[in-house]
Amino acid sequence: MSFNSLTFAIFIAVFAAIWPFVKESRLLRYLAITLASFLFYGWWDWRFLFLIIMTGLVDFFAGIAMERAQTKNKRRLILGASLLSNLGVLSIFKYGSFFAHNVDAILGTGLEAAIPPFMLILPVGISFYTFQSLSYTIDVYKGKLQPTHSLIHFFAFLSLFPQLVAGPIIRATDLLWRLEAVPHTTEPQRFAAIRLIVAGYIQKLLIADHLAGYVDASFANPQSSFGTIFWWGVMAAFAVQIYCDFAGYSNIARGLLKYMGWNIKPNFKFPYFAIGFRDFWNRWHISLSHWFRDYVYIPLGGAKSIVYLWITMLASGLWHGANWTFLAWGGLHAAYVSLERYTNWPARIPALPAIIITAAMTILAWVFFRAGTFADAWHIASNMLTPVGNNTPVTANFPILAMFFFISFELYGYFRPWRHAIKRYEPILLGILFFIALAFRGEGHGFIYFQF
Amino acid sequence: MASFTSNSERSIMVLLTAAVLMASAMIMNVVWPDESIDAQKREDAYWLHKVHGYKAASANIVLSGDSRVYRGLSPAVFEQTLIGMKTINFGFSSGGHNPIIFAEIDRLLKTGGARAVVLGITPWSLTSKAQENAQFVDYKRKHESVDETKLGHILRPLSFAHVKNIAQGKVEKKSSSFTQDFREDGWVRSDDAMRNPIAALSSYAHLFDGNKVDPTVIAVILAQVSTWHDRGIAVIGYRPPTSAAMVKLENEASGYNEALFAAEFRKAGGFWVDLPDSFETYDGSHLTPESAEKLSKVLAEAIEAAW
Repeated sequence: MSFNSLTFAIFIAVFAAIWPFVKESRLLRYLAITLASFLFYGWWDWRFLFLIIMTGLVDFFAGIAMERAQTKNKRRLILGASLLSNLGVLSIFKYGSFFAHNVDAILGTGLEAAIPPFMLILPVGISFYTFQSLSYTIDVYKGKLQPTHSLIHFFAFLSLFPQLVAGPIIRATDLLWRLEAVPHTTEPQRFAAIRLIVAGYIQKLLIADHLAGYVDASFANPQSSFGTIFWWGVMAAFAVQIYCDFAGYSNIARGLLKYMGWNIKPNFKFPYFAIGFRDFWNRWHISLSHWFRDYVYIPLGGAKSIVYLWITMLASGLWHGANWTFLAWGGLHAAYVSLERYTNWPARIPALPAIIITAAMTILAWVFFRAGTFADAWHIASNMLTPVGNNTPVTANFPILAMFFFISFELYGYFRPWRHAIKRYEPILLGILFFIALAFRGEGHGFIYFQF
Repeated sequence: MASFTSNSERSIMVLLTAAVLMASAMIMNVVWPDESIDAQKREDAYWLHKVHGYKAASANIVLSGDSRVYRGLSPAVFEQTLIGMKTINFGFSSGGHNPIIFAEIDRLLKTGGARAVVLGITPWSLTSKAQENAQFVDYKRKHESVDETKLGHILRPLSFAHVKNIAQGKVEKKSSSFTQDFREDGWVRSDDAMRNPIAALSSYAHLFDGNKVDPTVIAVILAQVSTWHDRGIAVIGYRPPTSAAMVKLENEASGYNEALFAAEFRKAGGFWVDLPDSFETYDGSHLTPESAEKLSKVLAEAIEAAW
């Protein structure tokens, strides 16, 4: 079930009513989390619960086996089995069709037609929980983490419902031990949690969902739409849409976890205020970029060679989707970071122009992320980069109000000019904002990052 | 639990404020319904039912194609002509004929007994663009909304424009000459009191630019016709009738050769129905309700003959 569904509203109301009674007991706490999480995930398609359970079981027993293994070679072998299992399942469901399609294009083997239909469905959030599970076995292998011996404890960690399908990716070293202690919350913490949840719903329902219709209509047949201003407008709207869609989900997830008693680090820190791309990647989808940094980039050799940076960024592109366009998006960001590393350009110019240049280059890169094909992406990028007049008349009105909300929301969050002045009225104000987000929501759209 | 209900629990205050205001919004939805959103919800409910609502192995006859099929064929007329034969109109906007739709048709068809598939072959439905099944795919993803649609109009979102109209006392019934009735069997009974035989022509003028009839699509259809025929399922093909001007435009712009397609269709084991030129459209593309019912009867009789 999705955070923006009525089913979830009922689910969370029931869970919130039960939670205070079960959280004190270790066993009941784990059971409540695990059962609620399985129900939450199984609501999409109960068959894919078996995937989580299967990969989870492999990693749970791999952790124990590594603890008992006498030699490093044995531990390495067990880690290899865990990686093979996790990445194997991810490859089959996420990349199987893409791989077969490309093999067919080169060799004409008819491989894609032979894929069973159930393998063509991408299980929701598979990339997120796979990476979370991988962090467990890798950290046990490295000796950074003591494996848990309780299966229910492990599944409570792996399937924790607020962040199960779209992150933030929480590593075992950050979460496993915290689940052990009875989570207590104070009134200010619960209020802060509600504040995060309301902020998340505003981002998703009031901003992202109102932009989605405009962006989708423009991308329905991109080759028939022209104009530099037209495409910059569409891509700026998409940049805001994807940010608010994803950051909205992350904020709701963080708010729910905070309400339950666990503080999770922010996944976004005003990314469109970034000065340069090293800064951008410390502000955008932080849990994933830090995951790639710690489990791919640094083990490869880190700053020793620019090649490692490219491998990491390309892998990050592919993580987002099985399409060459995602690879191009990763490649473009690798080129941006490489350029920055050699020239250090953000430090040589004033902050404001650096922010604008970074945002513009980010928007340009989003073209490859959003376009379905390279032909569409080239068409849009060339319209954006060369002056094309005679702009296509926009069929839907540009969602000015949603963009206005975004800019106000982001500027307020960044500068917080009236933070102290409105404190007294904040609960009422938040309640009104929550109502506005729910009542004036855009047409229902799924969260974009579910597909990753 | 004490802290949950204490006066200082600001989180509860936030939720209560939102809940009270939401209740007001629900009352507003009931007292001053927003007709534009109501119409959209009805349409959404119709498509969600078409994609998710029909039971597997429940139909004897499935009608497939694009808007000329879902607006142009009435399953009720098929069922009146072929007594006891459950019929579903499975047409989609800009829909194509491809393995994804064929798999859905197979899912809907009964596993034995008298069965037929009716394919409405328009030039557009034979292009590669039509095979994207954009509308079908879109509604396939919206599975969860089914539950919400059933809760009706109370929970629908508000629009700023509608609230402004209520505040200014300007809530009035919009009148439109175009009407459409979304039927549970998949037919959209459509009509326009202001009939205009050339209304749709301009929107079709550039539909086939860089998007001609695709031989690969035809090959896939013919292979499926052959498969169904071998399984004892009657396959009826026809070109959905439309205005003469539209036929001319589509033939010239799309590269469609109907005579050749019909011959190949018959060779694959299908029954091709050549239709008389006696149907009327309300917009130059889609049939009037009377013509839709007349066509449904003609095709039902063709199925009877094929069986």
